[in-house]
Amino acid sequence: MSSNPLPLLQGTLDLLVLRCLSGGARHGYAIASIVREQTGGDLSIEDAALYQSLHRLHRQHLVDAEWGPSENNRRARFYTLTSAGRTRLREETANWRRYARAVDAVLVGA
Amino acid sequence: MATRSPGTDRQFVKGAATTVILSLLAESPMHGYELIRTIRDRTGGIFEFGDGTIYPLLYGLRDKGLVKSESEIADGGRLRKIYRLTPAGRAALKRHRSDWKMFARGMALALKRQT
Repeated sequence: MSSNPLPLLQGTLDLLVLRCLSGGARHGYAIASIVREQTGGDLSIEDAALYQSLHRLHRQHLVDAEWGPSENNRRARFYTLTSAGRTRLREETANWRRYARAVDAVLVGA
Repeated sequence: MATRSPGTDRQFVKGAATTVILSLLAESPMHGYELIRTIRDRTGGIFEFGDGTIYPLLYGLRDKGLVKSESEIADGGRLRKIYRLTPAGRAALKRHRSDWKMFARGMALALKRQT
């Protein structure tokens, strides 16, 4: 829809990645396309930022990574949510909603 | 902010801080302390900007020509600065608002509860 997707901050990026993985194991490329499709192109994740996010989440044991064959039979790293990742997803989703309400509460006045 | 993951919240807040400040100054000129109080009241305490946050942001906006400051004499004879939006600040606010709407819409779609 939009030709000009917005850059994402680290916090929202990690949240989007966790959210994407809540639907099952995905490889990096699939995560980026899911986010783009789901948001009608409003949000898009750059490759470098996506892999940094996946490493960050992996280091924090919020996602697991495993090698497996992709659709076109290449080897790809598949990521899944850990139970800590699921908990974090719930917390961060609630945080985001709170935050969005706060911004809207300010903007409504102008 | 009272939350279990302050790091992420700080990231979120940093993203919208400029939008929030420009938006409030578009309603009326304010000095720094008023801005801190208004942000806290309007967001029901979800955003707590301290002196250490608000002033660097205001100085940055002033350097970019989006706000200008005027000195006035406060009760007790102290000088304080009142900040108002410039025309460039109004234009920037328009862009920030439409960016925020798009971003919030995208996030809402991505986080939609599964049925």
